[in-house]
Amino acid sequence: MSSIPVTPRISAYPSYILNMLALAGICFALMTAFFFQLVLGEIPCPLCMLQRVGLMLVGLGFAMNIRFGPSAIHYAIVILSAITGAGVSLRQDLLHIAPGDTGFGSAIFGYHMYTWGFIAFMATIIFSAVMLIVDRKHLAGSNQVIRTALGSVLTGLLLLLALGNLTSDVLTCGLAPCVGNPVTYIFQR
Amino acid sequence: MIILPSLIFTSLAVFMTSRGNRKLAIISWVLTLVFMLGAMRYHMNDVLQISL
Repeated sequence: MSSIPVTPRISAYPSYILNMLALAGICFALMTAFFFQLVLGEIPCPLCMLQRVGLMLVGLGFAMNIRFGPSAIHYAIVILSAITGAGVSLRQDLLHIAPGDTGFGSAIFGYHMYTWGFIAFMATIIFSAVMLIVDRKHLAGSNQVIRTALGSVLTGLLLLLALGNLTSDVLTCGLAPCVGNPVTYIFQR
Repeated sequence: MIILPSLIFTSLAVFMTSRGNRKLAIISWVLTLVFMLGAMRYHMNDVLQISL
């Protein structure tokens, strides 16, 4: 079910650019997580993986806005995914509120990744609320499709990151339930 | 294994979006969310050190 490309109104461009920036931000966050995993050797825990899934689902909503034009359903996908991801982040935050607990993994600018995750999910929800106001005249979603190479590249990057996380999960857990604090990949055991 | 279905359907949803199939992308998103909630139920069962 592909949309028919038509010349969009100029008022659709700010929404398109903002959605692309949001998707770029999500891809950057996922790539940062991969940097910590592959370069610094910090293997993600199950809750970390679930937060990555939440981030990718948020990115999916933005990618759908880019690919099909802005729609209330796409923003609903972003908001519901962000709420689910924030639930996991908050849970991991609460787990580490204990005397002497130094948290899981490295801290970035003083906060651990799950705290940044919670901040990112909250920011995403606020962003979507603002975008629903910005896009209030274009939410039908069928006649405002803009196609750019950069939009396709960002969607392709999100797909690569999703496949990368899929591979990472298989290499970390195999076909068994993931352990709470993984220290090696399955081929190192 | 518990998180794997979420990742498979996430990849499928993004792939369907890039291919222009909105309906299948949304169906994949719903399935991802269902499996993610199941994985959350399985993995989020540690006792907290604080009283809520």
